[in-house]
Amino acid sequence: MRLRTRLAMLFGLLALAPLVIIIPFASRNLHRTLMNELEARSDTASSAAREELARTAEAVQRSMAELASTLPFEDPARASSAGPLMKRHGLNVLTVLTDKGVTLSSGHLPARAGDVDSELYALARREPLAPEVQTVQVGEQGKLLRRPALLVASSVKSSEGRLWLVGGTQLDLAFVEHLSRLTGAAVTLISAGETVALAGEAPEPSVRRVLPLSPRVSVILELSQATVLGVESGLGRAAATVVTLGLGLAVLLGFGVARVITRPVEALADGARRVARGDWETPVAAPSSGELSALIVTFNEMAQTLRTTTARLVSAERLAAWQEIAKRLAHELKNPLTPIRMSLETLVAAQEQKSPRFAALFAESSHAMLEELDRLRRTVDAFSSFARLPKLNLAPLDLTPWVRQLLALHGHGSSRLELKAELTEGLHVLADRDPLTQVLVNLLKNADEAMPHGGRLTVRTLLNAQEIWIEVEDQGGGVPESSRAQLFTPYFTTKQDGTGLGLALSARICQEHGGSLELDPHGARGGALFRVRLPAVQGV
Amino acid sequence: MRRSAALALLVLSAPAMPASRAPYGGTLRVAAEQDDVGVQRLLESGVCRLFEGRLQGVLATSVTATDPLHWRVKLRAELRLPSGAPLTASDVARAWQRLADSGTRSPYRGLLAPLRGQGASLSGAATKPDTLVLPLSYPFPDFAESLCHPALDVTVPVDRRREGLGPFRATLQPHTFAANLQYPLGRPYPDKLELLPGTDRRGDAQRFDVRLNGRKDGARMAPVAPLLATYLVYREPRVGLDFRRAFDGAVDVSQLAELFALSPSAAMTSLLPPGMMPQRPAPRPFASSAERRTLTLAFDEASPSNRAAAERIQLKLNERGFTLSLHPASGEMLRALWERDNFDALLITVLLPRAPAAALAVVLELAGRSPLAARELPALGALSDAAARARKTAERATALLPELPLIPLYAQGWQVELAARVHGEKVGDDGVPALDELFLSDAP
Repeated sequence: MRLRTRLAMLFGLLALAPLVIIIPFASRNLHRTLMNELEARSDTASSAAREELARTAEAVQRSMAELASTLPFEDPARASSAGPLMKRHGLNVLTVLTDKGVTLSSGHLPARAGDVDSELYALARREPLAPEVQTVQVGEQGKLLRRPALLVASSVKSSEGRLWLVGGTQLDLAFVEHLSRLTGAAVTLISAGETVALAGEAPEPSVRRVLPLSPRVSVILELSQATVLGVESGLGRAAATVVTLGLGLAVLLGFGVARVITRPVEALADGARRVARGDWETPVAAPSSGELSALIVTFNEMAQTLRTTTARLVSAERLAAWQEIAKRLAHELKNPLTPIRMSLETLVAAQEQKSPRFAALFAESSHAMLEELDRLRRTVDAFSSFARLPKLNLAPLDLTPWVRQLLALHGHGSSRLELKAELTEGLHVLADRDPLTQVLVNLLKNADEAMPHGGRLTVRTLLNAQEIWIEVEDQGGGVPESSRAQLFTPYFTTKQDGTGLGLALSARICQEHGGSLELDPHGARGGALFRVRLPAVQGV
Repeated sequence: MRRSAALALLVLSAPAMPASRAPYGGTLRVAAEQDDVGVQRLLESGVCRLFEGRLQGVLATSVTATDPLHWRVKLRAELRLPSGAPLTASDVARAWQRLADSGTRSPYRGLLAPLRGQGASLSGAATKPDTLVLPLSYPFPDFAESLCHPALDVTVPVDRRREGLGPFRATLQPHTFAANLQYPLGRPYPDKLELLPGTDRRGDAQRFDVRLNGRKDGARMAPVAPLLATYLVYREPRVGLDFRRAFDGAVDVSQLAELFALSPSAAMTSLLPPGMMPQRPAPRPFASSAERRTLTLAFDEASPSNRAAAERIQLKLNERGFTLSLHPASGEMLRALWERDNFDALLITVLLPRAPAAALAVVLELAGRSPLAARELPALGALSDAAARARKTAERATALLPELPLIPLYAQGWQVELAARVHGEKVGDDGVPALDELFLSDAP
């Protein structure tokens, strides 16, 4: 991972860390605060509902007191009297009972007239006479139902004797809706386990308060937590947005800062790569300060020193190489000169002694001298071609047809070799075809000579990273370890009549193409594996 | 008849009858619904009506039996509807034919049950423009009672509506009627009649000249025998076999009449009202089955008596394992439910003719037992003595009651509350107040 990316991520993590630590705490505290607020609202709603029930009870008591005072002027014995009385006094439950509990008239259930109403009579006779919630039977939309009602009883004396009045107000939908509006809560009226009326909405989850009005009747107030959850959710989204934006900004900032920091480092890395490639000339130039600036200056100085030293080394090496070549050339030239001198001295001596074998010696010596002179000429020609390598004319070369063509030429008339081509299609190199052909022919020839009794000769092309490899592998005796170090040295040969310049010349041609020639001591299965490494050509 | 309702009458003050001729003019305001029978008779008329046991011709000059099997109705000459269209014997025959048609289910078809061919003979009944001859299948001395019943009032289709020949005629203003100068018995005294439907029963009592829904006390006109009979009709397959016994055990019809039906009212424990036959003792309580059943009880939403009675029945049957759902229905809807047999139980009120045999015919039709009428009525009609006929009718009614899918509840009559300035009150033998002879003492 690049330094710039790592720095940007580090900035992001640094920005994220405090938020990750703070937000859960803040969220928990906010939730607690909002829930406390909701609980407080629930308590307020409960109180308001209780007060409203108390107010309703007071109103019913007042109405009943008024009604009791006006009843002597009415006709309570008439079955229809309770209805108008009930409406006139703002009630929706009213029953007039005799002292024996017989219903004289019922406003909320006129059909009850003439019957003993034991439930309401029991309520009327209870001491003390206090408002009470009880279920009463009512007719509603054609059905006979039991509805909870807040009831108050009172007694009066009339022409019919002592009468009992039980009146009140039904705790119905209107009442529940009123409570809901008053408290802001969803209100449910439950009677005998069944929902009688429901007003308002409190989506789950909710906070509930149960107000028992009687053993069978209760009011449930519900306040939804939806608002709390909505606020929390909103803040959560806001926090997520802040975190995301913060993280984004931190990463951007990180990239910016990292860029400032890493630019000299990257310039140094580029410079190091250039130096590695042999580009000594371009110094590292990047805006920097402090230690990085000193590092760049030092690097440039180091590169300069390296350049100078390398040039010196190259010069010395070249000189040494030429000295070695001269020594070897001298040695090669000296070798035929000795037999020539000896032959001439033998002839001179034979002539001076007037040896009868002079003619035979002359013929023998002149033949030997001519052979040594030929040898001298070959040595000089080979050196001439090694020394005068023409300037390369580079052009893209598709390896597969090229290799196939050379193999075909090489294999022509040779039945002892098994030629095998393992070629990767589409590989191209930038090369001068003739010198490179010379390299491959040289390698094929060596492989051929290494297998006098036949064997498999494999040529393979492959792409390895940014390089193209051309491998020539034989099944011959291989290269002895003692010879490997001098294998590419001019005039080093293990052959009887070799010049010792073939592999040296091939290695030089490869170097001129920006590549190299190497022996892979572990590549061959018992034989030798020579590898030409050339830079791959992009976009061909 | 469009609707029968229990009505009450109250006299606001006792007027002094004028010594001189009743004055014409003024507006008569009647607090009543338009389909009250009393109001209906202000706009339509039958061939006759009965007062104090005597037949009074309205559209007809005479209704007589030419022999035990033939009745002749002689119409007044040149009868004309308020629109000017003539009213002939054929119009009368067609009006009755509508009721008698087998396609029409009405309890009042029983009134025409004695006709030969069950009304098919009506097509040829108009022998002259002013004469109808009605052949009977068997002698039926009470047939005149049937012909005078308000259900046989004559209306004629005119311009997509039906027009009758009553003392008043419709005007363009709703609920407002003008004196009909064509009325055969002479124009009524007031010039105009205003109906005040939906008027509160108590609040505005003094404002009206006539109130058909009055209070019990202080009635000015003594009610005749209550003939508006209310029955609970049920369909046995739907309500169950023990419904009747459960009803008898749960509901005290005397209490219904006394506490829930508007007076004057009388409990009916027999098939016909108390004025026609003795009432049987109240049945013994019965413990109903434990299985709870759910039924619908329909009733006329415009009848406070029926509403109160329905609520009472609902309450009491609820204690006996029946969950009744009340279904308030308009008069038309109620009749449609009854005609289609599409009900569990319903309260229905019929105005019975005063003659017990004719009333029995109507009740049997109401119970959906018209074949029974064809079997029972000839035997009753064979008795020429009215008292003997009444006794025999009571006997047969008692015998038939357990077979019929209806329960008699109560019978009601009318009481009319009149303002002090209103005079000329009369009640027909059928209990229907005859308002056409009312006049105002302060009329201009």
